[in-house]
Amino acid sequence: MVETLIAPKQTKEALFTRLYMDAFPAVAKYISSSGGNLEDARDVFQEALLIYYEKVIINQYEPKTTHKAYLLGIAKNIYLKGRERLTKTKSIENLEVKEEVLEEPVLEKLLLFLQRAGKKCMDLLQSFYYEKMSMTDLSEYYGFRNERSATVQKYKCLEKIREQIRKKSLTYEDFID
Amino acid sequence: MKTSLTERIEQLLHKKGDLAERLLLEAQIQVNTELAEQVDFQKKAYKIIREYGKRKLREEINLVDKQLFENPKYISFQHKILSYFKKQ
Repeated sequence: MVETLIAPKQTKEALFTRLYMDAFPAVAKYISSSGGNLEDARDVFQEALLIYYEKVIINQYEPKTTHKAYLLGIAKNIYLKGRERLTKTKSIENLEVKEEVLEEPVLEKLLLFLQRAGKKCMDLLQSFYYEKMSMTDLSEYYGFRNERSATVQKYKCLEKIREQIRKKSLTYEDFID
Repeated sequence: MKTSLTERIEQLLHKKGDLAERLLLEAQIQVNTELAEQVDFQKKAYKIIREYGKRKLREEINLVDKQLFENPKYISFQHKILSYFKKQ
């Protein structure tokens, strides 16, 4: 059984380690028997864990099978899709690199800028808007006195980020759609 | 306590909070270009924050992967996995 609660970093690390121990051997066996190598298996499993975490932990989806079988299923899908793409392009060199890039190049630039200039706020905000952490958990995790203080800080951070985006928009010509 | 503009924009975009308040803001946006831009910037902020979260999570997973394949503490796990990829 995995945690249903969005976990602080330490617990998240423990969760991923446990899922590796439980499910990675089966994924590795499958990829090896399909002609893949260890690097393929590690890449596929990392992507599978990301999808698993988004679905099961963040969006609280309850798989109809065991967590191990569910992860194996996701990993198989990713691997098969990757191979399909490979067959279509008929060349490894043409295969797209997996690192996703935001559709708008300007948003990509902004993300890189905010990673450096507003890390504390970005961490806090992603806990709420991406990981969907409750205000109670967020308040405890980031050491706020109470939920109200956490809420106030969350909006201050959001305003700061919005303001930085606005300022940057003056330097990035292609920003306004 | 007065609700901040950021919070009001959020309530409008996420369809939460007082309906009358949201309708009022919507009407203000129609006649105020600067306010309309703020809404647009806030939408972009959410998009960037979610992408940041995803990349952060990917990094955390990658760290665990590295740990499991490089730390001697997990040597038996490493041997077990490597045995699946040994040429027959």
